[in-house]
Amino acid sequence: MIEKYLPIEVSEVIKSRLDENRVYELRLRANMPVCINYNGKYYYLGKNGLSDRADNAILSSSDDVNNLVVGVSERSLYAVNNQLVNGYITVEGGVRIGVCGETVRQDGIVKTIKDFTSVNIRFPHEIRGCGLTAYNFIKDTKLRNALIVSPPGAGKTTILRDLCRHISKENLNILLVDERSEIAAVCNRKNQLDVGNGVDIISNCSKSYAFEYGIRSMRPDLIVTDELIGERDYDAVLEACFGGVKVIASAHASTPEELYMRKGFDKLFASKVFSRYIFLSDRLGPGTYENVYDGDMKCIYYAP
Amino acid sequence: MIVWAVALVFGFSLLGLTVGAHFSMRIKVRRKYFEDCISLINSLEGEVRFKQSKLTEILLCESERFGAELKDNIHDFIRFISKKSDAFAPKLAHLTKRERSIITDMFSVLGTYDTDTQVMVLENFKGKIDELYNSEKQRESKYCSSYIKLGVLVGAAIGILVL
Repeated sequence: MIEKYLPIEVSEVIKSRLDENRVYELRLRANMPVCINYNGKYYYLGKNGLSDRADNAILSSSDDVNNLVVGVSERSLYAVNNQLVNGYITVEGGVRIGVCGETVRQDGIVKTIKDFTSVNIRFPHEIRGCGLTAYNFIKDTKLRNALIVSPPGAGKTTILRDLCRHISKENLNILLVDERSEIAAVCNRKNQLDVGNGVDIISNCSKSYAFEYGIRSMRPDLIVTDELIGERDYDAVLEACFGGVKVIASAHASTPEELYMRKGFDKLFASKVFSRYIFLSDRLGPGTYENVYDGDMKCIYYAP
Repeated sequence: MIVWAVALVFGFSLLGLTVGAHFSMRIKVRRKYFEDCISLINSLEGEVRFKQSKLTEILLCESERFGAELKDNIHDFIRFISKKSDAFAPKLAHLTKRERSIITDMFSVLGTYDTDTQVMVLENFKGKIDELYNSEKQRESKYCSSYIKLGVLVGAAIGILVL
């Protein structure tokens, strides 16, 4: 769906010169060269394909950026404004489009974003089996609460999706809280990406709402969710875990130290609800397993 | 001879009637077009504010109840936003340059704002189109029947003059 809203020059180069399955991100900035994350590395996108030099790159205009955002909303910005104020729009196929522009505030609340200046298009990847290592750490004697931790773009969501698919084979009631519609990418009531059977999905709402509503209405055994950010998310996880629901989630950080420094995380750590911290990186490509820690942050697996 | 004379006058009157009806119809078509536009804006405001369906869905659903002119414009616009045509150039032959610009501008802003702003912008266009509608409605009540009567009379007069 996204291809038809990209500038023609960009989509033609991607189609003719690159392997579309290796495109992880595409960044368009108003009147700036187009950047691409290809196979985990950043390049400029030139007329002849990848380039290390900005002067060879295709330039995207401010109209290109604006038309892309309006286009992917199917010319219905009002219908995606709730997503837009959070900085992204998710479209068919789980493609997430991060948006920057001028915020419009009313009574201290961001009402909308206008005059778009840049977009970051993130293409999801389904890699079957990539969550198996994580699964073995999470499910040893019993199913454990776990946090998948990595910097952005290191494969957290892809691994969560695969984990969800593996665990769903165990006949558990899984509630997938897909805040940004990236994990299952539900569109027209169908999952665009396979998360397995027996998974109930709540998408496009805050975690605190989804956890409370989901636990009350669906009685899940396990909640899977992406990107815990801030105390409200941590509190939602604590509430769920204290209520006997298992949680597998992800968070942004490169090291345990970075994780501690996140505001409010100390409370989550002190409660020891997570008994597995699985760190990932893109050292050998997205989805590289790094150290794995237990609930006391003792390393139980050292990355080779 | 008398039969021919009557037939000639009758023929010219009929021609005059047709010309009068044509002018009268032009006013009616314009009035109906503006009326449809206002009705479309009302529906859009409701849908955008409450149901928040995608623009294409709303337009496709609504277009069925409008006259041919607006229906064609809506379909042209849907083709444009679905990237099936390169530009939106609605057929608005029955409108003046200023009116054409209002209608084209109205279509061009659809779906490009958040809910509150979209409703506000639509309200603004509704105000402008409402003015056009009222003036056309006045013209309709003032001139429509006169055009027909005048057409018949002028036709008959020409027929008599020819005789």
